[in-house]
Amino acid sequence: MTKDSGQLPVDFLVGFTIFILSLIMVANFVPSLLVGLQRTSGIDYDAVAYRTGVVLVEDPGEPSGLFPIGSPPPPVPPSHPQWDLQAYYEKEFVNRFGLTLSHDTPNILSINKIERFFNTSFFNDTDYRNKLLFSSYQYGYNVTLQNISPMKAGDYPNPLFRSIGDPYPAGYGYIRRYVVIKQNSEASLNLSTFWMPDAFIADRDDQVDLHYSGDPLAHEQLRIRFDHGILYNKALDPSLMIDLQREPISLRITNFSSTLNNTAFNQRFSQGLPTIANSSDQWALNNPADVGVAETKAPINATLTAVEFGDPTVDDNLWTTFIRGVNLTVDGNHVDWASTAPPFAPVTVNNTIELYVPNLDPTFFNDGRPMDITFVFQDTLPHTLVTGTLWYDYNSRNVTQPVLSTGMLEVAIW
Amino acid sequence: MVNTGGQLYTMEGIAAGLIMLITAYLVLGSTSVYTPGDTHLTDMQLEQVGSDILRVMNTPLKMNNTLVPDYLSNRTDLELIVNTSDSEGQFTNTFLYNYLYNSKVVAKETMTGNIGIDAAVWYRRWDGSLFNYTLASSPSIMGTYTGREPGVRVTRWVHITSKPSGKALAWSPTEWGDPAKPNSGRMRNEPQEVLVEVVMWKV
Repeated sequence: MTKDSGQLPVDFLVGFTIFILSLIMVANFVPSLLVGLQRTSGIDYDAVAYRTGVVLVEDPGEPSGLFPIGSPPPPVPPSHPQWDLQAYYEKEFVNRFGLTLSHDTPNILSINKIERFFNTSFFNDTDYRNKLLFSSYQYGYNVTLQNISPMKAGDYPNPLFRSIGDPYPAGYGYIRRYVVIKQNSEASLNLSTFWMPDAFIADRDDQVDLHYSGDPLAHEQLRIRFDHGILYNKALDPSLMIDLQREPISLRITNFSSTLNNTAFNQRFSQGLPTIANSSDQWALNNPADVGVAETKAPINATLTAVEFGDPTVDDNLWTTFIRGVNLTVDGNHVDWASTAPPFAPVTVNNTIELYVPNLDPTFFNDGRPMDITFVFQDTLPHTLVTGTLWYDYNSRNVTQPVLSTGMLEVAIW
Repeated sequence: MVNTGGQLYTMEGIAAGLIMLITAYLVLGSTSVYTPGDTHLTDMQLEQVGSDILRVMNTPLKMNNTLVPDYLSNRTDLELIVNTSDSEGQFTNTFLYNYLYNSKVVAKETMTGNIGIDAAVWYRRWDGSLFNYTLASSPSIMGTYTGREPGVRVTRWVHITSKPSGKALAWSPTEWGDPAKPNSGRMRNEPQEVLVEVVMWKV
């Protein structure tokens, strides 16, 4: 028996050695066992990329622009405008980025939101992390948007290429979304060739033009009319509406000089006029017999005295002279616009007037009423040749319609 | 005497242990574990891309309404293509080369690799029976869909105002004289919704 007792430590030694060897081998296996699962982090990246893509492409952001396109404004307006209309000092009120026009238009993006979102001098890295990625983990990111079809008709190649974030590393999570990019409408009046049959009719569709009823031959005012009933007609596709509550108005009046210093009285703006019942509206310069004064020549100078915003059916004393963010340029020179009346001193116009209005407050369209932007020129003899009402509507002769282009948004996360 | 018996069992145990360990090592080391989540992910990306392309192709880019002077100019790309039942090449070109492969930035291999597509238009005939015709198939170098490749299926309802033109919907000569089936060879010539179905797979 004493001979066997010495074997116990040997058995133990053998067993323990095997156990230790096995443990070492297993410990060596474990990392390689997880090789197949190393994409775990990639799955996370892909998920975050997908989420980010959905936030951008299927959501209007927050604040979101308050109501569906074409619906009446709420009785109590929201405390902050939609996120892309907020000024730099307000950007803390942007809660979430999102590029669609509204909640009802997935994959249809607003060019205004795109330009604001990709403006890296406006938003910084912290903004993108807090309002888009929503993670305490410091993901790397890259968001790139580019057009596929041309941004303007007949304009090719026409690159829209916007990108934020860092260059793509070796491995990343990824999603690609195809989108439609809606651009803004704009109206351009070239006064040397200008004649738009539907535009310069004072009374369209038999609507009584109350504002001018006492002064039907007013020739010191050029008006641009926005009619809620036309712009937001329920029969139209909301995503194609000229939605001036969210989109800017760009007006450009060029070749003003062609109407100045012109001795040919009763000259029409252009040839080939269609027959219009109320012919007095066609004349650029009114017949002296109509006016009662001898206006036989155009002025040498035109003076823009005011630009007013308001409902043409009410007294123009109640009109607004200031809209936030409005920008007036005359002959290429910026005109400072004060919030107090009068907003600017009378300015001489030689050739061009450009007016940019970021968006119209929904209250301008209360009760579906029309709204006018009126350019008021000097009310002294001789009057300018520029008069009438341009309808800002879906007639492409009056307004350059919004161009919708296709594009591609790619999100990479790592 | 019996003491040596114990020695033998120990050696067998060691040998068996080593064999098991080596086997496990070989088995686990030779295969990478491809989790189902990974495949679903690439499928999801492909499906999202296909669904987006159909949506964009079927978005009107201009007003189509009598309130707008030039309203007749507007139809969606997809509607135009569906309206001609012979337009195979057009659909393939638009879907694949205008959208799917049209990336100027770095993208994943799974996205830029060859992707085959088959597209069909499903419609109901006059008697309510369901039929389809081929709208597009991939270039022959990509082969045909056998059903074994991992593929995804995306669909989109398209509104058309009348029966599409083209030989795919022409009268079949054998149906001419059959009074029981007055219009069996054709789609109804009236406004209707048809289903465009695209199968996408990696070649």
